[in-house]
Amino acid sequence: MTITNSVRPMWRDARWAIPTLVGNCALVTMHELRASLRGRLVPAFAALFAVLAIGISLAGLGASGQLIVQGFTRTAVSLMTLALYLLPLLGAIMGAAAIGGEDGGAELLLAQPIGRAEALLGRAAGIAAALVIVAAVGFGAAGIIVAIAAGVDGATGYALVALGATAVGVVGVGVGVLVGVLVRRRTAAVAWALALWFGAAVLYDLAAIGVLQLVGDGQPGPWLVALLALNPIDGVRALGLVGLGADVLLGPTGAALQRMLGANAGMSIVLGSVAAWLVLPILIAVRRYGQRDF
Amino acid sequence: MMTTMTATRMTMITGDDRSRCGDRATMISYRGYTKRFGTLLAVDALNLDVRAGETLALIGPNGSGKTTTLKAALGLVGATTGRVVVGGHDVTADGRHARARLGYLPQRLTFPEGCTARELLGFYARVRRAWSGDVERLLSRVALGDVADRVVDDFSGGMRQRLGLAIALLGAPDALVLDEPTAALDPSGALLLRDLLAEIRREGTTVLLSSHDLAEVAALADRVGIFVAGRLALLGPTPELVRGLGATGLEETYRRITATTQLVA
Repeated sequence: MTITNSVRPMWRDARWAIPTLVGNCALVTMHELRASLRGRLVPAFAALFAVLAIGISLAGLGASGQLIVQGFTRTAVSLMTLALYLLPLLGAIMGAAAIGGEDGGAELLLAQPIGRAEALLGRAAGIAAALVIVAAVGFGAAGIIVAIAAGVDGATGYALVALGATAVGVVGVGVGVLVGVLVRRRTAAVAWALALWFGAAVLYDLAAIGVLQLVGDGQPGPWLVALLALNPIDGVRALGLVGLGADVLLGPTGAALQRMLGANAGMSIVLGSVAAWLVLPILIAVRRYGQRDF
Repeated sequence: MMTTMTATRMTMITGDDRSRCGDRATMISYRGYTKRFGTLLAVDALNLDVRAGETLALIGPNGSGKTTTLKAALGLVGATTGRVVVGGHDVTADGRHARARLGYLPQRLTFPEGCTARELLGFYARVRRAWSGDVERLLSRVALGDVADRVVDDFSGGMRQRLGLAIALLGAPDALVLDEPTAALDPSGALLLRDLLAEIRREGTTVLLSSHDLAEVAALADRVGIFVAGRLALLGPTPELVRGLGATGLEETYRRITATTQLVA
């Protein structure tokens, strides 16, 4: 049997390996971002989030019939609750729909001289970038209104809340991508992503309260930190409240939360868990993607 | 007994075939390639050489292993045992370089929403490190130059397939792998694509394709491989396959081989 010879590929040369891998990843990221922004889901979510964020930034109708604008801190507290529901939901749906629904599109990309890790990381980064744009539009629009009407006092806390909520949205993308890799049919992948989001955003709190009643007499303690660390939505919400002054906002419960997370290892543990949630689902997804048949 | 007879004929035809084609370089080589999906044996111990410059068509019933065989050359489907080598590069160990030698047109082609033909071709040209002039040249070659800036969501099936073919041709690959390229196209779309494939074949590009259209296969292929239940039951140039079985044409050859092997299986 005669096999045709060929020149040594550029990416086998160490000088070119990393630029080529990064370049491929960046190419796919830009392509995915452009496709996401031109699809229907992302613009629709961006518009919905912006409208709700602007609505939240307005305190409501005053006695004179004029709109009253809240300050940054109150807006941040209200918007944090909304964003911590919406952004992970959007991220999970986008990730699951994009990766779980791929057929000919994925085959075509993976049939090119590109690694599977580059392809998946590039796609996940493109989806995450689209989610960051959605978050920036919503938080930005509300922030501009608040800054113009009520000044910039508390803007740093608002920015940190925006950052935290966006990070949880990106966690949602990672989980959605992992679900998409594990569940190949788009509808099933999206259904699983929705179920996971519902569990993390809604059911988890009820379960956490039950656990605390059982093991800690309902008092905050190491169990609370552990429960916050396990769920990035709750973890970021707690960190956000502490950052914005939980003792003032929530009274004695907030003061207890402040003690748990404000001045000891609790904050580091929760921050570390959010970082782990950002990385681990994607790493597992990349590993499984490399083993999958298309 | 029937299986033995088929195997004897296959050996005879393969032998004739080899002497006819000489020792042209092998572009894609399957050696003992076996693929199982759980308990399903999709491809069973496949030994096959696709020679440089030839057009080899794989035909067979649905689920007989054609698509798995094509995808194995691109590393889209792994090997349970055996190996696939493309242009001297093992697909498992050096898939990136193996894929650089191949252009691929999948059976189901999906593109992201809202992208134009020019954007998609440009993206894949950058991924393949193809010459930037390839985009315009290929758009015009597949007769999509006039609609290059239209979003592909509005494209007909034929236009999408031609765009897929243009993507497959980026960077002038040594071989094309085409999975049922004219399936689901209307007659005029199929004819247009078939003309393009005939042109590509005349240029000397190696083509490995699967098809259910026996007339298309007879017109395009230098050699034909008939898959039945994961096994390559017969391989050779169409006239020799037909003559070997004493059939009247490729259709009857196909009918006999699939009926015989399925009966025995």
